[in-house]
Parts: sequence; structure tokens; C-alpha cells
Amino acid sequence: MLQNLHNFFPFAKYEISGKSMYPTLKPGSMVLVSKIPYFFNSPKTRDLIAVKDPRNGKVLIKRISKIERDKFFVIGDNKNYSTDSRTFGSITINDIIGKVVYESKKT
Amino acid sequence: MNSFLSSLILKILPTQTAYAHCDLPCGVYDPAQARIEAESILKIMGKYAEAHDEVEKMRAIIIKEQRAELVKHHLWVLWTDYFKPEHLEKFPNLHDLFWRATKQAGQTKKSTDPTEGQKLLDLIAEIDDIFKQTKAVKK
Repeated sequence: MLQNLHNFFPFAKYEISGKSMYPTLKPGSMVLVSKIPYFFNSPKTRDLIAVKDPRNGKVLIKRISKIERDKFFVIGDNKNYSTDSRTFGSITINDIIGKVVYESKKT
Repeated sequence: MNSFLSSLILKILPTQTAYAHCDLPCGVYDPAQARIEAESILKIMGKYAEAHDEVEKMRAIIIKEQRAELVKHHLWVLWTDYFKPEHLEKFPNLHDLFWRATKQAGQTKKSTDPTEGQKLLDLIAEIDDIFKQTKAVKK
């Protein structure tokens, strides 16, 4: 039960694996993701967010590139090395886990 | 957000992994790959019927099995990597079509009847038709 407590916490800590957000986030960087900012405001373009990959539910870090009605087109900053909405299509608000509110950059 | 507070929260929380990976979407897709393999299957079925040598018959079956697996692979790549939700909105039969085509590829493994091979080619032609329409929209 204790292990699942963090699911109810409004923050989650993720370690970045992969290069699709380089140079913004290097592999091994830590980010703090929170749902709180989206309690008050809707996600905006350029927001750095954690999303669920609609294909398999894995957590991905991407940037919102375009918003059309309720669909969010997300893309990696390192476009040549990113699998994103260009592959799996736009995502919905339900796929968004939260906004990256803090980055502990790996040097 | 306050950096001290953030650092503190980072220390407390368990670490999960967020993926920033690439499965290298080269962007080159074409149902022709599946069609060529399916054409091989149809030809192999014909050769199987004409063959008298048991070894040649066995070789035909083995190669047909491999080609059918390749058809499935190429169709799955198109289905899961190329086609997107907006295509499904426009072509609601897309999932059913891919399901039937990949099932038919399995059927060609079980059979040496050329009509089964032709059915597979017909289904791939339907996918190709939709594929071309999606490409036309992009231009």
C-alpha cells in the first residue's frame, strides 16, 4: 500500500531515459511533474509535459507543439530522434499526466 | 516553483522512468512491400502445384511460410506506425481491413490453394487504395 501512496501525491519524479528531448533534457536528468498547474489552466503550446504513450501506456516526456480543439500534438525537442505525435497521432487531455515543473539537469 | 522545495520533493519521491526514446520513424511506408511478398506467395502456390519432387514441395512450403510472416510484419508496420487516428476517422473500416488481411496472411500459411493467395492480394490492394488516398490528402 505504501508503494502506491505516491500515485495520490500531486507530484511525480521521473528519470529521463533517451535522447528525444535533448538538449533540453539529457538522459539521466530528473524532472518533477505535477498535475496542479492544469487544475487552474489548460495546457498550452510549448509546455513540457509527461504523457502516456497511447500505444502502450509508457510515460513519455514531450513538448506540446500544437493544440487543435481537444487534441494535443506533442513532439520531442530533438526531432530527428523522437517518436511522438508524428508516429502515434495527437493525444487527448486524458493522456497528459502533468506538466514538468522542475528539472534537475544532468551536467 | 521554489527550487529548494522542488529539490526536497525530488529527494522524497520514488524515481520512475520517463521515456524520451525514438523508434526511428524514417517516414518511408508503402503497402508495396506487403504486396510483393504476397505475390511471391501466390507464385509459390502455383509452383507447389506443378512440383513433383518432394524436396521442392517442401522448400515451397517453407518459403511460403516465411513470405506470409513478412506480409504480416509489413502490414503491422503500416497499421501501427503509418496509419493514425485521423485516418481511422475517415476510413472506419481500417482496423477491420488490417485484421482481415493479417488473418488472411495466416490463412495462406495453412493452404496451398492459389485462391487464398489471391484473397490476400485483394485485401492488400484495398489497403493500398486507402494508403494512396491518405497520401493524396497530405499533398
